[in-house]
Amino acid sequence: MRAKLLNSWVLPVLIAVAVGILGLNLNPYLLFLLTRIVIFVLLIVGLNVLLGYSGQFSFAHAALFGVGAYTTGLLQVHLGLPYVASIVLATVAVTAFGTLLALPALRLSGIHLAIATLAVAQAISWVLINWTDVTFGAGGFSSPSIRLFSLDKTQSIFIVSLIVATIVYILVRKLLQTSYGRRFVAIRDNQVAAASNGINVVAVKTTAFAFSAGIAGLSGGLYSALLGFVAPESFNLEQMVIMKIMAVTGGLSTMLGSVLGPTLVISLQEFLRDSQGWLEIIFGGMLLLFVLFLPRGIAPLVLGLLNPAERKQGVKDAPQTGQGRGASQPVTEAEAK
Amino acid sequence: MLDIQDVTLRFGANQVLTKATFSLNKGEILGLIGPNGAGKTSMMNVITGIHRPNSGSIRLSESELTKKASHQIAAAGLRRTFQTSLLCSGLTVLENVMIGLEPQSNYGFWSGLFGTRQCRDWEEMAREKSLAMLDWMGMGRFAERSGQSLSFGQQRLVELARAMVSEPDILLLDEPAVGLTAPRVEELAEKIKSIRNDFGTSVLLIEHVMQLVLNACDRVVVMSAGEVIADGDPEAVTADPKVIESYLGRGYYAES
Repeated sequence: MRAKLLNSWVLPVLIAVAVGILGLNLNPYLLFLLTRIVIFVLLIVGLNVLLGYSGQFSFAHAALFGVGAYTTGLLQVHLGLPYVASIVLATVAVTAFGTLLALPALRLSGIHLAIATLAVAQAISWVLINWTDVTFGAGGFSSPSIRLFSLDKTQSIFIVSLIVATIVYILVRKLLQTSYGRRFVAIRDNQVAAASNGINVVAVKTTAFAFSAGIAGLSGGLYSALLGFVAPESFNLEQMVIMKIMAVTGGLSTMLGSVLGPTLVISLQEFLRDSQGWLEIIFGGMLLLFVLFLPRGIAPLVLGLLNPAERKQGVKDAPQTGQGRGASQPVTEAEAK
Repeated sequence: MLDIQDVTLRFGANQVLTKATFSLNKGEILGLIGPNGAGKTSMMNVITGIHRPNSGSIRLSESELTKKASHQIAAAGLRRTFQTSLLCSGLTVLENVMIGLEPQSNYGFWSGLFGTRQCRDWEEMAREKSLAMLDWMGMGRFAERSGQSLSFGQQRLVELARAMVSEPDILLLDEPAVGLTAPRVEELAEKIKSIRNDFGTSVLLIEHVMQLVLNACDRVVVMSAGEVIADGDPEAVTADPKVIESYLGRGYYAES
């Protein structure tokens, strides 16, 4: 019963409605933070498809997030397109860009893939800074915001982001329970076995990369409207590291982790805002502790509390909830007989 | 049905297969035996597209396989298991078996994302078919468990279910009897015969356990140092002096 509830679209929608009501009653600053969390939840849902479920390492994600933000903003500034058209075009463009990037890069794996995507990230960063006629260079540019009904700018982008993130979350969770979800996990766990069972490994990697890139582009488009000002440093390698920390601390290969990671990291960033020097040290230490003691992140702990049966039975209920994709508990000899 | 003709494979200066030639007939259980390093698993890897041969041809019902990628060969109806079980640890037993049906999946990415009827129908069919195959293997009660949580022998049965769920024309088994006790080897021999009888699947079996080879196989091919040195019915091959010399050892008849 609990597994069924966790698995349905009802729970995410109820939570989104609660977060929506809460958000509209927060002061502008806290609402800005909450919107940042919502946008990063969307971004990490996409990153998790690539990094967690498909096991492919990419350093280009922050840059793709940036391309989404820049494309959305620049289409409005240079061509005068409306926001909705700009963000849709940006999402399509980043998906196409991600696919192009994936085709050569995904024939690589492990460290070589990491280096190839790092090179692409640096190249994008270079373009954003140096193509000043179009991108306005290192100084960045003011990106138009949106207004919904009688809501103010932050409230409007908050509501739009919350709706988009909730829909994408529900769709991705569904997708992961289909043949595509199994293919992602299969190429992560064992590419030889996957190929020997008829899975086209390169095609699956490309799909994961393109889809994940598309979500990064969409998140970037939302982020540009939230910030109102787009500059290269919002999408540099440091941001990439922070995204990975969000994905790992929340829990790779879990949908819930994509929600918990950004919430934890952004809250912590805010909490430690006045002690900037400590932030990196604390993040570094946190990442180390997570890798050593909680490699699956906090999501499995939370899921265990919500659904004690799952804790007892390893992954038994996990796939139905679209959650864990990694737990296992040994079968005793007596059970095996 | 599966014709391997003059297949040669080299890794640098290391000659792994030398003009190896044999064929697997329809509905046959063929044993492939030989000492360690004889090239049996390399042969299986060449057939399934993991390695590309330097020369020679491999034909499945007249279609050339050596130019195809692994996933295309699998989709053409040739499946295999591995020496060490290669289940996906992040999937349940049932989902691992469903992987075997992926090439037959008939819906696209967007259909999966939006959960269309076509997607739901196919998933339902794949689930039922995979459960039926797990039941056939006697593993149905473990369907919702993690693959990693099973014993080694059980993982091999799940892997076998994954390879068989698409009811392939040809099944390649790489040392399925490793680590099994004698009664379990008997059960496995019966299972392999049932695979042929119930599904019409031809089987190529790499094995060191002679009890299984003699019990299950219609014909045996012997490899040594990358070459095929004998090909015939099990009794004749095990009596062949060359085979006794290079593989079975002179004590084989004294023991058996």
